[in-house]
Amino acid sequence: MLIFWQRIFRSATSGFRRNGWLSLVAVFIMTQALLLISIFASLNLVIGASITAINERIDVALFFKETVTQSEAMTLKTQAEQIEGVTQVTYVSSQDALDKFLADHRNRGAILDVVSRDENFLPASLEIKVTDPYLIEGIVGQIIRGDGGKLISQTSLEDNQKLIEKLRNFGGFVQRSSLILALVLIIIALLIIFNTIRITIFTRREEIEIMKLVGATDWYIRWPFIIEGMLYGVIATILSLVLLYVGYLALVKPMVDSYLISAASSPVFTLGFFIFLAALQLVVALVVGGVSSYWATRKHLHV
Amino acid sequence: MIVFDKVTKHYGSHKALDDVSFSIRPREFVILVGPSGAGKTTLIKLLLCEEKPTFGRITIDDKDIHLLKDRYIPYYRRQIGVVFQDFKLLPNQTVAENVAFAMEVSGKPDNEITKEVMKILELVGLKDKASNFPRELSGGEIQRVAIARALVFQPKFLIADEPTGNLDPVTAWDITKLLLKINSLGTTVLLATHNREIVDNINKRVINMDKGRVVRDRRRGKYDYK
Repeated sequence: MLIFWQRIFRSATSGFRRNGWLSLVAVFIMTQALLLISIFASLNLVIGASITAINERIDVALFFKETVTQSEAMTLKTQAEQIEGVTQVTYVSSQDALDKFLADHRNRGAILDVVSRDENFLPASLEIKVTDPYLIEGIVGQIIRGDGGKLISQTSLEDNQKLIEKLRNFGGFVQRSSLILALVLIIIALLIIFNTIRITIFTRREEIEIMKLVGATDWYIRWPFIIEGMLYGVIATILSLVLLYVGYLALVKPMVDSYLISAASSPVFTLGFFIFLAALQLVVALVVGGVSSYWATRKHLHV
Repeated sequence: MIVFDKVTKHYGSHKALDDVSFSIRPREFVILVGPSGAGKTTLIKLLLCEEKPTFGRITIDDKDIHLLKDRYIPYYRRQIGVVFQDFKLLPNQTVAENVAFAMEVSGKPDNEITKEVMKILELVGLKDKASNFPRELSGGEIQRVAIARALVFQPKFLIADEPTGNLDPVTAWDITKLLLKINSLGTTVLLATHNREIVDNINKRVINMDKGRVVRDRRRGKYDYK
């Protein structure tokens, strides 16, 4: 049995070496297909992170009536924090609001002339962040129906409704379409790999026929091809990982760092993600390489 | 003892073999002649279990070879040496590897293979070409590699399907002499050929075929076609 596997492996590696160009082409095509899958997986991750970042920015402000005391406001804040789906509630006092307003408009002299520090017309408010923008209406409704009804004069929901709606729809659309696109691309990549291996084996169909005629069993013929296919996969995985990392350092990292999703709470491209990508590629490459070889030899084994 | 018992083979409506019966005794040298389409190649395919007969049966030592299960066919083929007109060597393997391959398939240990391969290459006169690739050899040399591969299992039965078809007359004679030598060492040989000169000069049993039938079968035969 040992001798069987030794010979299988020897035959696989020598097949790889002696079909030099063809092997190389197969490896490169597989690398490209793997890159396609990886780039898409990364893109999905970036899109997901962006959507999360956008969702995190969607919040709602509840403005208090002027008569409301700070302790009443703090009680409502505690109540709001208990509601499911609420991630963060911030109390913004009238003074905080003014400070922020002045800071935001410090370059506009005209406005500053109108607004005077003594007559603060800005109401205090609660700023509420939620896990999912779809929950906003429900949460606001719940607060208003409860104790909030007496205390709150106005919410930002009315102003932001359209924007939130748009963002939600856009997010959903992007996620759905990227999933479909990912599936299509993965299928294409798999077909490319399968066809490439089929062609390399097609060029060696005579070899298979000869092996059969000198009395080789089907599996004795098949294993070297399967291992060769898997070898393509391993080399292609390494190549594509190197290319991906170089591409990441050169193109993606500066972009991510500078603006794209800097608002996301956690870094997008973690070591864990790279390990996931490597594992994904290796599994895809090994399985597809092996299975393609198996299928491709099957056809020529009927002698 | 190889026996063809009323063997018929149809390909669709075409009768490639039609009620063929003959037998070959151990150590015999039998020449199968006939024009293209006479059924020589079909007959050899049936012997190698590449095809099954439509009617009739082929037995070797009283065993019907077409009752073999598919997975035993490889083992059956290892007992028969075959030489083809188009050589059928593995292009990416050296002479020694081509010969060794047949033995590796059967799981023989490496040192035994090396010894046996060298011995057999010496017999066919190619010891010094052991590490060349087939494309670096002449037609006659390639055919001798194929014969070496066929012999490496020390088969009792060697089939040669037009082994001289692609060779010049001198080389063809070399190959024929090699086959006669192998026969004299105790191997049964079935030689299918077109080559009138060879058939008429070696004075062996000749089976003449035409249109899928055996038309003559004589102890000391001649080519007998125009």
